[in-house]
Amino acid sequence: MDLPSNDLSMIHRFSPASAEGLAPLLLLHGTGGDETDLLPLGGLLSPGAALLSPRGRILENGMPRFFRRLAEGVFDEADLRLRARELGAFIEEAREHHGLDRPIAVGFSNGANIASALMMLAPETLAGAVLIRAMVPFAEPPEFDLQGKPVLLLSGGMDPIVPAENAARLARQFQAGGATLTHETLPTGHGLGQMDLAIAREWLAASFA
Amino acid sequence: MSQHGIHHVTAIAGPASRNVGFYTRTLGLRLVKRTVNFDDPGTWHLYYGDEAGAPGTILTFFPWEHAAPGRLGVGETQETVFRVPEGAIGYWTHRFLEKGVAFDPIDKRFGETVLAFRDPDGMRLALVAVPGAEAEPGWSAGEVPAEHAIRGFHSVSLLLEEAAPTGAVLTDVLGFAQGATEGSVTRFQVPGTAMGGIVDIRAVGGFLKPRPGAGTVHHVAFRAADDAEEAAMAQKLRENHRIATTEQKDRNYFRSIYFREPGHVLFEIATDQPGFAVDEAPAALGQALKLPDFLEGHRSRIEGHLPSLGEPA
Repeated sequence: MDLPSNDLSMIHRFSPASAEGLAPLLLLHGTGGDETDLLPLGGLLSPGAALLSPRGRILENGMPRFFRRLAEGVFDEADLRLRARELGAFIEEAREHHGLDRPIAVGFSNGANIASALMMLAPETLAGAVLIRAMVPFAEPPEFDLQGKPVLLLSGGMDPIVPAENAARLARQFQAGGATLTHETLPTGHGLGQMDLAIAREWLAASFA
Repeated sequence: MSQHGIHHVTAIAGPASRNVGFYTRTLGLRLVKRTVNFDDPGTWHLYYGDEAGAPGTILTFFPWEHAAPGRLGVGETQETVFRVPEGAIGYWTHRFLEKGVAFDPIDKRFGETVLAFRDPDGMRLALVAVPGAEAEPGWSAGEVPAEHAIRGFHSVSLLLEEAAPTGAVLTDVLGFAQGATEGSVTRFQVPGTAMGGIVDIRAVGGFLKPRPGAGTVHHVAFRAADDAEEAAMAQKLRENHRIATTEQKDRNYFRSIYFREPGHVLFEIATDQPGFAVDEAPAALGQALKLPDFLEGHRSRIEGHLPSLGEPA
C-alpha cells in the first residue's frame, strides 16, 4: 500500500493508518532527501498513524527541495509562497483521496521551512507542526492566526546553518500568531538526532492525546 | 616505529542496555569509555576494549533504542573478528550454548580455527584461535577467565565487488601487504602486527546493496601514530588514489579523518594519541559519562535523555 503514488499532484508515498484516532503525519524531508526518508521516523513518532510523505518539486543540483533558495539561508520568497500553496493543495487532494483528517506536519530543515510557511499562509491546512531546525521563512511575516495550534520547534544550539537569533525570531512569530509553542534548543548541530525523536514523540503524544 | 592495522570498529546497535550486557558480560570485554555521539549527543557512544582500550582492541557502538535491523550488502563490513588463545574455542562454544548465543559450526580459514557467531542485533562476529595469544594479558575482571579472554581484534572482512582498488588503498596508504587468496577471499596483513593486523576482502561481484541499521558496521578505523602520519596518509589518498578525506575531527581520545574507500566502505584514520586515559584514570575507565568540553555545559540535559545502560559487568 505504501508504494510511490503519482496519481495526485505531487510524487509521494502514503502509508495508511493501522490504529484509530491518530492524526496523520505529513512528512517533509530536508534538502537532498526524498519521499522515503522520513517514513521510518514517522512510524516511530506516532506508531499506527497514517503517513503522507511528498517529494519536493524543486531540484537543486539534483537534490530535491520544497522551494527555491537564492543562497544558503536566503529564500526565494515568491517561490516559497507558490510552493507552499501547491503543498496546501496537495494536502487537500490527499485528504479527500485517502479520507484523512487534518495532518500534523513533521518537517526537517528545508521541509520544516515550508511547513512554517504553510502554517503562516494557510493555517487551516495543518493540525499542528513539528519543526526541526527551521528558520524564519519570510522577511516580513504575513498576518496569520494559529490560535491554539500546537507547534514544536526544535533548534540546534550548535547549528551552523540556523543562527540562534533566527530560531528565536521564528519562535516569537509563532507565539504572536497565537500558536501553542514549545521551543527547545538541543545541544547539537543541524543534523537530526535521537533527542529530536524522543522529544517529538512525547510532545505528539501529549499534544494530540 | 609506527604501528598500523585496525584502530577501532564502530557499529550500530539496538537498545543500549542489551548491548552493554552482551559485550561486557557474555563476551567479557571492558567498557572502556561511556560517552555520546559527538554529532548526535542524544545517542550513547560506548567503547569496549582490553584493559587499557589499546588501539586494535576497540569495538564501539552507537545504540539506537528503535533501530531497525540493517542488511548486509556489497560495500559493507561483513564480519568483525576477535583473537582468542588457541585452547579457548571449546570454552567459547560451551559459553555460547549456555548463553543462547547464535553461532555457526567451527570452520577453518587460512589454516586457523574460527567460531562465527552473532550478537543480539545480528551483527556478524567471530573468534579466531591464535597461537601465542595466551601469553598476552586478558581482561579478567568480568565473567570470562583471563585464560580464555578475548585479546583484541584479529581482522575485519569486507564484502566488496572487487578486491584490487580497496587492496591498493590498504597497501599503499594503510600499511598492509597483500597475502594469500582462499576462494573469493584475499587476505591483507600488516607485517609484524598481531593485534588488528588483518583485513580480508571477499570479492563477490554484483550483489545486494547494504542497508544501514542495527547489527551493521558504521565504519572501520585504521591506525596512524600521530597527526603528521595521518596528514601524510591523507596526502597519499589524494595524490595516488584521488580520494578526498574529511577535515580532521577531534574525537577526544583520537583525532580522525574519514573517507569512502573505492569499495564504498566508510574508512577512518585515527591517531593512537592521546588514548582513553586523557579524561579519567586508567583504573576508572568507562565508569562515568564523559563529555567533550563543548557538551559539558549541557550535561544534565544530555543525561536526562540517554537511555539507561543497566549495570555493566
